[in-house]
Amino acid sequence: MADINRIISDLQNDSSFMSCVTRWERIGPRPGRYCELPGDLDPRLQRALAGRGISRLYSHQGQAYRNARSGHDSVVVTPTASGKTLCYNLPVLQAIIERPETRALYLFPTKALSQDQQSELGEVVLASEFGIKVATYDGDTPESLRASARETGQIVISNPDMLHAGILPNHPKWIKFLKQLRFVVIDELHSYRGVFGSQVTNVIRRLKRICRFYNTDPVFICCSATIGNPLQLAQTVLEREVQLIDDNGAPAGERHVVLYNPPLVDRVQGIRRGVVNEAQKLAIRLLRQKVKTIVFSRSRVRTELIADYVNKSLANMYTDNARIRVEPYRGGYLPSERRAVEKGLRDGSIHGVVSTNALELGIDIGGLDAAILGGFPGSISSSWQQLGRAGRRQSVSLAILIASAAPLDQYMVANPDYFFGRAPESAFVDADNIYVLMDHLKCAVFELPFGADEGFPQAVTEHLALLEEEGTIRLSGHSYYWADRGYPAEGVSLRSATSDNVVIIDTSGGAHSVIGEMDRPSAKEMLFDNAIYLHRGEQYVVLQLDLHNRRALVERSNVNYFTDALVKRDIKVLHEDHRQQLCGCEAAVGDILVRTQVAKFKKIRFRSHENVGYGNISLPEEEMHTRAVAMIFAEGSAAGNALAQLPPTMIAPAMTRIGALIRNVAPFFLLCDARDIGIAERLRDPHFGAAALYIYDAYPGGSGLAEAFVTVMPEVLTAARELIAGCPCRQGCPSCVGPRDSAEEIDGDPKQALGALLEAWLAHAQPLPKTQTAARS
Amino acid sequence: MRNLYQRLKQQREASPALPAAGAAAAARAVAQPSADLAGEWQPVAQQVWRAVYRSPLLGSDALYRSAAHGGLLLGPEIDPHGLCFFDSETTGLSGGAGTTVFLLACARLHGAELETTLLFLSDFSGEASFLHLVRDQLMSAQTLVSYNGRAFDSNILRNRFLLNRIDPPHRPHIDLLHPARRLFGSLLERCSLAVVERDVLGVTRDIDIDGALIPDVWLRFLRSGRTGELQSVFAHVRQDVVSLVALLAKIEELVASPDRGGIDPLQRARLLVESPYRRAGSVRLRRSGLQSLSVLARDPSDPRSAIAARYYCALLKRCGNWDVAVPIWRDHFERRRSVWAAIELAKFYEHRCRDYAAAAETVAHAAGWDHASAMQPELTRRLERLDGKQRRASGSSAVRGHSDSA
Ligand SMILES: [Zn+2]
Repeated sequence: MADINRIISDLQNDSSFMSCVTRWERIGPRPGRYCELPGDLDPRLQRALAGRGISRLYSHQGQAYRNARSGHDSVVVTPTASGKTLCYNLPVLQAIIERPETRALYLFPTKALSQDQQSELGEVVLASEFGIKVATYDGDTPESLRASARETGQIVISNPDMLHAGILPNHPKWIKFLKQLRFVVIDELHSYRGVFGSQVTNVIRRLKRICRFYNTDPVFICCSATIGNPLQLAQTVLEREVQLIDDNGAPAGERHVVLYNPPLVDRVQGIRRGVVNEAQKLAIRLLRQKVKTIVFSRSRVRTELIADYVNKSLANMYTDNARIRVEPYRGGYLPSERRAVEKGLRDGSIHGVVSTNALELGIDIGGLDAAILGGFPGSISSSWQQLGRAGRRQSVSLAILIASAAPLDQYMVANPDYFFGRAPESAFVDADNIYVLMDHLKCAVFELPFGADEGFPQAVTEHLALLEEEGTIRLSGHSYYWADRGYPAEGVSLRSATSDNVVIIDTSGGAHSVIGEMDRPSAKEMLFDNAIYLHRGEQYVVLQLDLHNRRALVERSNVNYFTDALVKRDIKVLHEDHRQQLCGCEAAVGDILVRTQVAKFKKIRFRSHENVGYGNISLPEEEMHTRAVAMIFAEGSAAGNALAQLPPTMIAPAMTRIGALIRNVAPFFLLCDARDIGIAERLRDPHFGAAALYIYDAYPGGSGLAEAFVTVMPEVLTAARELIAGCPCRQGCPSCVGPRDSAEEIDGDPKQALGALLEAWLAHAQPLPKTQTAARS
Repeated sequence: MRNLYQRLKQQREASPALPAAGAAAAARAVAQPSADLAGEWQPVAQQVWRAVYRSPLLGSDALYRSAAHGGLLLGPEIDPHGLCFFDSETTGLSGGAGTTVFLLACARLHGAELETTLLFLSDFSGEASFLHLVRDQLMSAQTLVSYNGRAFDSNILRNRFLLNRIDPPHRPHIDLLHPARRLFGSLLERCSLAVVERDVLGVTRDIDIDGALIPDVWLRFLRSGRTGELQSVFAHVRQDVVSLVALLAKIEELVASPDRGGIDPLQRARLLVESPYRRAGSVRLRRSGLQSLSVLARDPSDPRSAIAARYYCALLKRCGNWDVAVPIWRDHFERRRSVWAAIELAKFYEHRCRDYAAAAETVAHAAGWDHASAMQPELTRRLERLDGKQRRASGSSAVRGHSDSA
């Protein structure tokens, strides 16, 4: 039997382990709070629940049920293992049983999640034998099943992309569904932040508009992971009053959360043992005690390596791996393989899993005893979601964060109070991002003529007039009509990432079998010619990456190294629209090309991880054309002068820290997500002939963030100065200028230097918000 | 998009309280076409125009003959005067809620004349009136005839009716695309109406507009108000419906006398066997199909003989000509071990002879063939049913069975 208590006391008595622990936090158990099954719940549904061992509800499930039944929109904050799906399944199933014509739409952010949901809901439906028809409608749904999904699906499971490009533009085909649409479930609401959130907000606007046409007003039930502002996010996305349900009634066992900094192997150079080795050693230690463990790793290659090492080590110690099964899990596998791992974890046939953040989202894998985070995942809320994968309702759980050498990781283990005290990040959405709004306004006109005085929901008369001038819509009578032969949703992608996948084909021994799929940018980094590709414990060599036909031919291999691509990023200014004097520097706005090139790869020996050679990669660059603003520290400007005053060795560290600082501050003002903006600093920029800091839009073509940045620049810089002055840290932390990097050789305090720079700069800055059109082009 | 953004910004900065509605109205006044449609065009509602043309109808005999005697698609129950040949032009070819119909052409037979009605929408705001008139046109017919109208025109029209909250018209619909594919598919590069028209009907259009460009013409007209370019669109859609009439006549003619058209006897037989238009297709027509097939079916050197035999027998079955069909099935069952022949034979024993034992024996025999594995589920089902029938027939009092699962 798994004895988590024994392993906890073993670890606590292990002095070499404990010497690396910087904080051992015990979080006491929390009793459950329950309520009776709702009185109006159909007896057959009650019996079906009883068959699954559910005779009462957690308090938050009851509240979600009552809210939905009384027609109120809600957002339920649902940590892992809190019985999230019942919060929305119960009111929906009840309504369908009462009135079989009732329809519900479930939106999941990714396709993988929707398939998982269908299998789980399938259980409820089958168990209760109501014959409720659940249909998945996404890009993978074969044409032959689409019509039946539309006509007979009582619960249709889809994603925002499909709603945007498939369902709404063809809403007359969905008339039967839309006329009876009573519920819209938005799961994983927290993933709709930043520009993606703006996109989805506008899709929801269109959905509500179409619903009005069919005289329906569905109730929205949202679920969100723990973030700083779930209610605000829900109200921004839905644009109406929403009730917050964050009083989680699910019980939780005692939790131990440990911050672990690997031991130094070279005290002089400050080199520590690597995350991969530490994670696999700890995982083996836990698994040998039959502790069900999940290991999170920060890359796909590391996921494969750790799983492979763990399995091999277990095989050496015991025959038949002591019947302990450990599987890797990441993007790039076939859906059926992922389903099999998820199922194995739920039914207990798989004891350990090594995963990328793919398992951080709400896929149901049951409760695990322990979680090992191989590196800080980048945000506090992600950390808690990953740590939360360990934890059952009754028993004790253990979660260990292993720090890598990265400054952010090192800061977290060195400052446990920061880690444990910091609130999860908030999610920002700019519902009225003008680029996004204009795109969706076109789609809305396509879907239904747009009244000249109609709102979206705010007044958009100017926007419509501009679209009319552009010629895509036309005012006739009192409405605007779509007056273009195109299909606007086709040209609008909700996500910045490209969706065309490369298929991985194993050709060993004359075979030709598809073993996986991968998005194009990742394929360039993992499936280049001669790459060693690790896939579910097997080693393959890539014979040919054929981007044109979107396939990679691979063959089994048996070498003693794996490969790691070196990625180079480069920015080129394509066109400068205008430049203005602003806040004591020059701000130039224009088009840039962000080029990502994988030109070389390293060969790294298994286990020892020593570098055993290099190879060349000849692949075309990945290019993104986007919009950027460059802050130019021009000679003689307040910013330029302030930078010049710094000691020469401090100039480079200061520039990188301005970037980190702006990344921390700007999202508050831009209402975007940190991942929506890219930041690059140049000490001497070839285009501008001075030091420059680029803030660019991570969304291809731009989503207005660069332009918006110019308008909020005075506030951003003022806030940045205040943040540095007010931050209690010593030489920088993740909240301000970024943590001090031990690999950096700097004399003095970079935080202080940057503070001085900002003071000197802003003291002489005269914000002159006047546009000067550039003569150059 | 960037320009748009900047202009929007500038506009906002320049005049915070912009009288946007006024500006838009001014823009509209300029763009509003004068819609100077002349000649046969009559305004019939706000932004809706109608034109009616009459032309002599050549080769209408075939239509009237098929209707009188029963053809592939036509039969005595269909009055040719109740046929409405229609085609529409739209603002896009990709479908979706934003694709609008702006032109409808309907042709009706009047003795030896054809009357073609065009309904034209000259701006979006007239759509509801336009659709009411379209509805009246279509509903006044007994049966609609189109080319690919089932998949395309009807769907887009249905969207328009739904969006305008008008009941869509419902009428029986003959889509000529399906029989044209069967008859000419193997002969033509594509089965578009344009190609069929050129290569089968021998129609040459003097000047014609590429159908794919038509949406742009209407959208340009909306902006400029100039009707010049529209004339070619009107001519195009008129010719389309005229060709529809000719095509229906041609199909009936070819099916009735196959030797003249050089059409593939197999495809023709398939049409007759699979025809969804069961109410038509006279006995006379099926009989005529038999002659060409019988030769092919009996020529074992021809690789198509098996399939020809299959269609041949299917046609024989429809004519009730069991005496000829059964020996062919038996031959294919015994000598060539054809599963389809076994199934046909079993059906014959079961339904015609009521000899369930013989039927079951035939099916069981076929189920034992290695090459029959793909058909196994169907054979098993059939066998189970036959077993049940045998039991009931042998001692119906002893069997308290469920309802007949057949
Ligand atoms: Zn700090």
